[in-house]
Amino acid sequence: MSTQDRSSDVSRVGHGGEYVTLTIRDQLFGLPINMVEDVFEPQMVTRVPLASAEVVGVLNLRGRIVTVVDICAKLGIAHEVPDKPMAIGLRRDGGAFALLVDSVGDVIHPDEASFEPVPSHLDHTWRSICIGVHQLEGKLMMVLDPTCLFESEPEARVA
Amino acid sequence: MDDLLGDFLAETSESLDLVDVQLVKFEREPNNAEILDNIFRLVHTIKGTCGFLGLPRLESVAHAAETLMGRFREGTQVTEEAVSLVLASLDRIKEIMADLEANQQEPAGSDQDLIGDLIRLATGEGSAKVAEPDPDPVAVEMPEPTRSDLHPGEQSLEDLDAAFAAADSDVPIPDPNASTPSLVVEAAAENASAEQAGSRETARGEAELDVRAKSIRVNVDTIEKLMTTVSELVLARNQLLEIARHIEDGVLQAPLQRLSSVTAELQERVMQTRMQPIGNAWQKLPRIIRSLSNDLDKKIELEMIGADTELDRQVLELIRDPLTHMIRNAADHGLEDTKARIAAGKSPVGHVTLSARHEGGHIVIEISDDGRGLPADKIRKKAIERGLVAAADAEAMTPAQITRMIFEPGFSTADAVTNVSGRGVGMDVVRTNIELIGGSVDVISVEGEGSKFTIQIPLTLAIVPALIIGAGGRRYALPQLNIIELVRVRNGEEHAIETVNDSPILRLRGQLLPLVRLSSFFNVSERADEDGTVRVGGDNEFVAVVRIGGFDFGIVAEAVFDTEEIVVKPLTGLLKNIKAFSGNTILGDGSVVMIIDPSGVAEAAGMRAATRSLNAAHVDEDIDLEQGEEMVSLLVFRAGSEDPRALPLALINRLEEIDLATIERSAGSEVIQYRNVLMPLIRLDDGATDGMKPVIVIESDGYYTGLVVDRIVDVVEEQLTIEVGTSGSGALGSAVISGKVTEIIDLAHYMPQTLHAGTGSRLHEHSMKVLLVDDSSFFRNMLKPFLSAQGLYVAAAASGADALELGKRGRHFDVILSDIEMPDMDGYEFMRAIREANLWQTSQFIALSGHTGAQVIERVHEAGFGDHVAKFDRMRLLEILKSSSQHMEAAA
Repeated sequence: MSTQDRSSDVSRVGHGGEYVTLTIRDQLFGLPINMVEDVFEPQMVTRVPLASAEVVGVLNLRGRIVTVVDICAKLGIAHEVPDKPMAIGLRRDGGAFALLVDSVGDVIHPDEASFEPVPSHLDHTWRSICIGVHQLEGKLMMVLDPTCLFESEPEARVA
Repeated sequence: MDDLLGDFLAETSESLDLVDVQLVKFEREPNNAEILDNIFRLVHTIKGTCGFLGLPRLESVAHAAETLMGRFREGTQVTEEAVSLVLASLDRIKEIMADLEANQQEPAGSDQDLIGDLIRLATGEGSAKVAEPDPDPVAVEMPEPTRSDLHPGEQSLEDLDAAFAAADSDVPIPDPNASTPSLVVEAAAENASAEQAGSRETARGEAELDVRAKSIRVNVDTIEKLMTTVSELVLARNQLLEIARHIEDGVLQAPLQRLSSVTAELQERVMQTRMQPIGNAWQKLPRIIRSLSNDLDKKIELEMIGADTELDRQVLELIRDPLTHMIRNAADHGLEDTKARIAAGKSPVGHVTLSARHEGGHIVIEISDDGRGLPADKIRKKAIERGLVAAADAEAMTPAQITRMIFEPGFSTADAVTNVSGRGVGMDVVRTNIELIGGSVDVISVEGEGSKFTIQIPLTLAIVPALIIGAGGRRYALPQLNIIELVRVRNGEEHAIETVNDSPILRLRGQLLPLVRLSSFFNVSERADEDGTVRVGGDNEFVAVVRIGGFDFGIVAEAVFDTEEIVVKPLTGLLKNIKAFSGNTILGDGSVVMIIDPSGVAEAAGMRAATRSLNAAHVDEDIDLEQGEEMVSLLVFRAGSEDPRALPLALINRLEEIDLATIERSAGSEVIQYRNVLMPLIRLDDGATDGMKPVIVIESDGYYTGLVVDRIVDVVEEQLTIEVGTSGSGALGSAVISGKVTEIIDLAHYMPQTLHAGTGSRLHEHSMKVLLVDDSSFFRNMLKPFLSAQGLYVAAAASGADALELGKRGRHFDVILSDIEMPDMDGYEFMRAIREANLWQTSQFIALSGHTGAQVIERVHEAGFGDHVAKFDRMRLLEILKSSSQHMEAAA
């Protein structure tokens, strides 16, 4: 119970702490480590017809069905998925998700002071998925907020 | 304390539900001491536990209610007011408990109003053994209460305890002083509480010791987790089996076999723990019906059959609301009020029947009422108004299809929103909820007779057998529950897919089956190359025929692989709103496949309502006809043309062959000498003048008529579905017989004596109620619409016994039309039974038969029938009905 609380409560994500780094389209991103459950190579992905664009498909991860999501597709950004992409598993109350990424890097622990809000001139599509930026040596790491992916379209069905 | 409180809340809400049911039962059988004891014990337990846990508000309400019930036990008259009051107290207890659950403590507030009423009733009626105490706890003669343990209802506890002791002699009578109001001190209150708790233990103790030793309370979450784990185990086993299939070595086989069977057993046992009797979802219904009955001023009787039918608790939870909604609907919209019922000749008490039974892998729940039925015309109008169906389409729909429109989204039947139903949730929500769990719902209704809703739901949702199919190079799982057959289609062969305006259609046994080709529906054909070659619209496909709520359609797949027991996993957030899928699962090879939801596919593909079920019995609207496919014997012949024509064998007296040269002419008609009389002939044949021709001899009112035809083809037994044609054309309509469209002859058109009968004049508006008793659905189908069209109210019964049942239920009919030749009980016996039961003493009886010889007529009159008509002679029947209608009016 407690592990789930920790990983599912995004609002509690601080600006410091440890991040799993990843790259999408050569951009460095960081995901707060308490949101990450798994890092794996997606295999045997079953495509889901009629699903929204960001859904790459579903796969079996140790007996659990995980929905693989491409954040670029959600934003309508062209994304050349490499031959061997990686996936970062995130756990939510609604079920298991995995973020399709180009590569996964180290876990880093940046100084809280290096955190800045998202620069206002940044493309709004990127701004909608990031909560801020960490200025690292030599490069910037966007802090990813994947919650937008969990919000499905409003239910078409009347409950 | 928390655990205790939790247990208490769980236990008490169960008890309360029970009390609800028992009370309503009790009201109907006020002399049933056993029920009363049950209620008393339950309330007493609640009260005792409250005292034990220090819940003064609950305790005092329960106590006062208990006191009132104690009076019942002493023989005080059970009044509706009293029962309502006790029910109100139970509601109050539930309210307080809800608060208690949320806040861990009793809410502030006073229950004086309720307790005052309870005590007034308890003391008002009975002998005034105890002087009426002032129910106000802060009254002057009483000491100021030091804590809330002072129970306003406690004054009559002595009575109660005496009563209680009388019922359960093993319970010691507590010292009355301990709870008299004059001794209200903390210690005494605690003492009383302790004693109540003690007596509660004793009361429960012996009766429930056995039960308790054998059952334990398990948290639902625990069972759910167990279920999930077992599901994983099943998956792992499936994977192992898949791997073992590719291994030559047999060393794995034996242990795997063992693992497999153990897993299966484990799965079954865990499923069992989730099983609950459906009655659990019904507990609130008697109470609901009771209050509806009061609110709507209708007399309603609710019958529940099969409450012990078990099903998965998850399913149970999901159908609880739809069921409640439908029961409300049946009572509110379905049943007429008492006045209207009496006016319609029905018994004043309306019946709502709820039944459940296992059938295959399903639970079938039926909710029927004997109310007014669904108004097809109104529904049709409304459906057109709401734009649910085009006016032209609506005209072409059968009444059964029309009634199903109530399940369409955006359709609500209630004209006026009553406080009972019509809260903005319509039957579409019911259907959606039921279909969400892989069930289906259907309705048959007869105006004036009632309606019956049939819900079919799977026993469990967790594990289902499924067919693994391929489309667009991918695999999908299709639950077998919905599949009725699998058809292989190939171009140029018997079953081939045809297209109309690009929509694929399959001709299956003479019916058109709309199809959904998965690859194009899923829009996946363009991606197929990555998985191999795919031939969309190829020459070798499969059609899975699925049925949802009486509606059939086909799902086209390119391949059928296997059947597998799949563990249904719910869809996660992002996929939840894809209606075409109901879940996903992991197959034996470890890959994930999506589970197709046929109802979602049908909906998404825009197929509904406009097509009907393949099975003709499904569209049968008459409740009284539903005993299945009845066969009608028909004589098939050719006359005039090569098109086959047919006549029911029951109407035919005999078949003769005549020499056309012997035909004579008399008064402009052709006649022939037959059995020493002149028999008029009707020429249906090609009009030849010599040679031999078969003649079908019809007997009516002692006269013969001959139909000259070209050739007798066959006598066949067929299940008849007549497409009614235009009247006056000499044909009743056409039907498919032996695979050929065959015209069914309308004898009335040809019979000479009908020529002078006036046609077109309708019977008087004061519509007579007619009961038609005939074992043959053919004649019921033929006569009922005909008579209805004349402005008569017509009910049909398939046997004398059914008809008598209607009579015993108090249904009145002005005219009873009965067939003479019926199995089990013929017309004469039927008449005798009516006389014996003193039924329908003022009604008129008319006998119907295929043969109308003089002997028959004599016997018919002897039996008590007022008149006698040949079955096919509708004009004469109409004349008789007309004269009896005039007779009726004259008498009135």
